[in-house]
Amino acid sequence: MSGSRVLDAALRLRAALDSVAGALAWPDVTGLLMAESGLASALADLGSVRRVDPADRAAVAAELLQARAALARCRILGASASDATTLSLAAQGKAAGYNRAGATISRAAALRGGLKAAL
Amino acid sequence: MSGLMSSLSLAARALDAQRAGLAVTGNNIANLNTEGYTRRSIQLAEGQAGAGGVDVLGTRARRDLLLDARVRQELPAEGRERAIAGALSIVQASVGDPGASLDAQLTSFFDSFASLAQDPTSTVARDGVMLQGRLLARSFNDIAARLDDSRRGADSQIRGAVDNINRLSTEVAALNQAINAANGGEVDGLRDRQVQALKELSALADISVLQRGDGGVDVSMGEGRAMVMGATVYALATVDTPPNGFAQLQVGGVTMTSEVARGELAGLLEVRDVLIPGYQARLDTIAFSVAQQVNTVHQGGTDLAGNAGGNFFATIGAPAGAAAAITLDAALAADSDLVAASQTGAPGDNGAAKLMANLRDARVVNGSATFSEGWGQLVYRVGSDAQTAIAQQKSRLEVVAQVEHLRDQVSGVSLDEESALLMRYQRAYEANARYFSAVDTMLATLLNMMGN
Repeated sequence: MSGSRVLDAALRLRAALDSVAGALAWPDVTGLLMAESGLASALADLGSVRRVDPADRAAVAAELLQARAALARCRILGASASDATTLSLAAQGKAAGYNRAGATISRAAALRGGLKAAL
Repeated sequence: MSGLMSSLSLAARALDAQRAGLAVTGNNIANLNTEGYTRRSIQLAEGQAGAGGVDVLGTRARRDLLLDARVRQELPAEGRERAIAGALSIVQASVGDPGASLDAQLTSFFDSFASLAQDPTSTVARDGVMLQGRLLARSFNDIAARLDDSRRGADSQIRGAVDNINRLSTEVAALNQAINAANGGEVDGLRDRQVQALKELSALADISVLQRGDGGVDVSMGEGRAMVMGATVYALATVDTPPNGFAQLQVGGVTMTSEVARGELAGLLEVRDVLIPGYQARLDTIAFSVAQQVNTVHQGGTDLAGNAGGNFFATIGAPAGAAAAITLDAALAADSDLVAASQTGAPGDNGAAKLMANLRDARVVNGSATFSEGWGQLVYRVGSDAQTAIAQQKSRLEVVAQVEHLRDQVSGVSLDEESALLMRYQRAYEANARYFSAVDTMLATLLNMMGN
């Protein structure tokens, strides 16, 4: 992968992580869903990097450090979002999953159904 | 006829219900920017058996106690970092920028000995050495005084925070009493104020809130120290403690300063009792090293009259308090002929002045750093602590805002819609989160590849 493509992928990764964090910070389900493809694509591109052009090193390193900070932000906001959602759903007796029809089902039923409910 | 009267009655009740709904909506809009106001919804029920139509049962505040609790969990961490960031911004200003504060003065001081080495008998050069010595001592004294002021400022803020905690505790207790006295009546307004007071309280200290059966709350702090029990307040007291007269916190005569782990109060305590004393200790180490090293070289030299050199700076017994105490030796301050520039006493010898000038680059602070580097490390440490606190505060604040947004977003819809929205939100997050470990590993690999 050429140097500029590495930099481009690093930029896209950071942008995707910033989008995820932004969508988590201002609960935006659509934004969250749309960020997933950008994240997957940038990850795939960066995964094939074997070397970085010395001329691009400083810029790539700066982007990667910013991406790492964005990832930390995603994790903090994600943990808080998960807690808040789990608490609210538990209070409604719905802390489980949902079936293909969108109806809520118990955790046991969700697991039986093969859904990897993370609640 | 009875059919017509019945229909009119049904229509009238329906209009009443709609009018009540509009009033509630108007109230919600009017309070859009009221801090702590919780949106109300109207509760309708099918009319009495046989009568049909609709009845207004009352209004209900759409409050999610669990999300309120989640916000209260985040606020103390945010408050702590905010207090640290605020206090350290003042400390940062006190220590100045690298290259333009004490380090510049250190350089000028040692450079003045380099000038003296060029003309060891010059009165002007000797006066220059003494002037720079005096200015260096004053720089140490000023920075030590500013750090001490910052510490006292943190202590004043602690006392202010305690006053605020007691004021809010009193408000919560009064609200408990009012909610209890309402005896099941309309208490939404009181509950809004209760939530707001608890929110403010949790930003100040790491409190635990226990819901009472009557709608009131009990509040405790630290290791379960009661602050509010029903209508009773257990005030937090500040007790002046020697040697500095700084405030220690007590509840019911028991000291609990060390139990305060989060909230603005904890941040201020950390600044006063941990961070600033740490900076003071570093500054004292530098000042003590300067005085010791300079005096050692000076005592090894010879003054203008050919006598053995004495102290350049007044003797300091121990590092503690050295920055505040450092000053020119009284005898030397009165007579620049006592400056020892010569090593051997021979006419024109400048050995001591050269040795003194060389101290500028000697690694004497803790055996590993020059005086200027030691100072640079202190300035960097203050800046790094401040930046960490700012970043942490920003992050915590974002989490608080996120939970509040989430609560606002779901509080206006039905429970079914609310749970569906929450589930979609959680699933959307999980879809992204499954990449996080891979991203983390890949970032570590790439940064390692580039030597970061």
